[in-house]
Amino acid sequence: MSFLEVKNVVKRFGTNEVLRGLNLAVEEHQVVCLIGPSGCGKSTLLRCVNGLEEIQEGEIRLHGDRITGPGVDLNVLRRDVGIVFQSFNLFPHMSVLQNILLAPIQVLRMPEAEAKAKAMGLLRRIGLEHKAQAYPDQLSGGQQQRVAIVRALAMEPMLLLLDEITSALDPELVSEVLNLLRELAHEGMTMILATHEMGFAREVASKVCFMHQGVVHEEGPPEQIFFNPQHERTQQFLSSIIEAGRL
Amino acid sequence: MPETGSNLKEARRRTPTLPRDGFRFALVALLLAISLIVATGAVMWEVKQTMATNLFQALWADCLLVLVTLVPLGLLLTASHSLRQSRAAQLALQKDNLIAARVHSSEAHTWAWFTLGYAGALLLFLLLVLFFIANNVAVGRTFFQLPLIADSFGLILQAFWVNVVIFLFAGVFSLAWGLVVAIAKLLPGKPAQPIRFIATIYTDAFLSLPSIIVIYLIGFGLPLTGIPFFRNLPLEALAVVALTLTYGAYMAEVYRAGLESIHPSQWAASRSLGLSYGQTLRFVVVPQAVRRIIPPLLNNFIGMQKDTALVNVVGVIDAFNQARIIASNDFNLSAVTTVALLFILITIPQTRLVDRLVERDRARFRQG
Ligand SMILES: Nc1ncnc2c1ncn2[C@@H]1O[C@H](COP(=O)(O)OP(=O)(O)O)[C@@H](O)[C@H]1O
Ligand SMILES: [Mg+2]
Repeated sequence: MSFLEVKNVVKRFGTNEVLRGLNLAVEEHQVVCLIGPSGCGKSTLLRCVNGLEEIQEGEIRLHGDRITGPGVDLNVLRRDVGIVFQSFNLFPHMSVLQNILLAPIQVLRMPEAEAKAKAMGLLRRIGLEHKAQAYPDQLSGGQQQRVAIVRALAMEPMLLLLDEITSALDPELVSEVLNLLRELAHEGMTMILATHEMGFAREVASKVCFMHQGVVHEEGPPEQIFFNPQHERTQQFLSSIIEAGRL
Repeated sequence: MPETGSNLKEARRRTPTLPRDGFRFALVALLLAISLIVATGAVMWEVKQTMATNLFQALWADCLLVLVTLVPLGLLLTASHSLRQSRAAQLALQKDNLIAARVHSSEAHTWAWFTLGYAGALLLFLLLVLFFIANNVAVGRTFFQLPLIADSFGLILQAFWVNVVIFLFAGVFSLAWGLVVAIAKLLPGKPAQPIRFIATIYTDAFLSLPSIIVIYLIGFGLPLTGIPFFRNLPLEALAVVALTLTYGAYMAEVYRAGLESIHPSQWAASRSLGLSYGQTLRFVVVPQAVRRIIPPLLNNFIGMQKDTALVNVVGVIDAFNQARIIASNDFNLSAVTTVALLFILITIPQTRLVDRLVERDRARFRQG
């Protein structure tokens, strides 16, 4: 039994079937990269794992525990599964520190002093201690995205989902975010990331999954997917990526 | 023909546009200034005549008249400045100094417009004065009898306190009640359907009912039911209930627009951190929404302040009711003018305050 198991998941928006019986297994401390053309359902899959979208068929299990279907306490699930989005989604009316403190204090009922010490520690780690009182729109995109990651980390999730978190960033800001992810990967954080950063995926991924038409079309270690893809559709996708100079 | 087309283009490229000649415009401004000086003199003379027929004599009044007569002389300065600049532009153009000509011409236009603008304002003022003193100061006497205003001021101020109390209570209540209704209207899911339905009917009904009718129905109707609780309530409290119900619906619509304007990604971010629906509303959505809707909320609040004058239909002695009693005793509306001035006086600072709040919030968002 894997740490995270996605079994035959079907997700429809009205009549539009986005996930069509998708299967995926993630082990603890693995970094799984989802790649695939835009619109193939990467974001939808991540949102389903976090319970932000309901699924119509199949099931998702975390630690053997079913986390989809009726009767699941999503608020509890989300303490264990964090997600960071493409557009930063920090709360604009709160300072950086307040952004990070909100969930630990309100959801985990952590004492304020303890939560604060922890938040400051996390900020120190990403070198943004001095921005604790700043508001999101005073930060660069890269800084905002790192704060968003730290905000998710403050809940000490077992699993971190990252949805194209560098896609909205200026190229020179991408590396500071990727560096943080690299550190997390080395520390053994279990992560699923949808990404177009193929170089990064090759470097940190334990497993790369190519998604197409609502299923995982091909999966394997990065070397295999990137250099020896078996399926024609995977090859097509990779050659278009290589043409765009992204690999 | 492509040939002539490109020739035209060439020709246009070679001849730079000349600045507009401002001379005639400046001349118009000057004429206008002169006629206004004459008109002001005439109107002030008229005022003096009226004062004489009413046996009113005061040095300060005479000084004031003279001062006002002198004011439009300023227009002479601006108009002649415009004239001089337009002359300078013409001269510069003769010397082929295009840049200087443009600068002078633009100056000439600016000053001519300046003259026109102030002349317009002055004209309005003169018309107002004429209206005021027409028919031997009939307007002035009807609305602005200073002794009557002074006599009634104390009584009216006391009655105005009733308005203040009513709108403070109804204001706070309708702000809270409106938020409750808005949230009820936005509750998701099937189980909340009846609640959404009731909230929708409520807002539909109270948005369409004139507040005067609600006040009438509640102010007269509830005590008539004979239910002891309502019978013992003072009329003012019933007025508060009526205004809260009416304006709660307005506030709810504003809140709803504000809540819906918050991007779904904020919901997703908050829910994904494990915050519940209620916590998300409380910490993430409502604070952001309220910031955006402070101006329309305050507009409703001010609208409600004005509607406190309607409570006289059920016999509450508010400022307007008091003023009407005084007015019918005096056969003069000056007391009502006092009420009008009071309403204006309390409203203006509120509007300014909100401007400031919005500005401060914006600044904080920028600088932190
Ligand atoms: N909230 C939604 N409502 C309707 N359709 C949606 C919604 N979210 C995503 N979709 C559809 O699901 C498909 C997959 O979208 P998405 O998961 O965002 O793809 P990706 O992240 O791989 O680019 C798209 O066709 C999109 O139009
Ligand atoms: Mg996506």
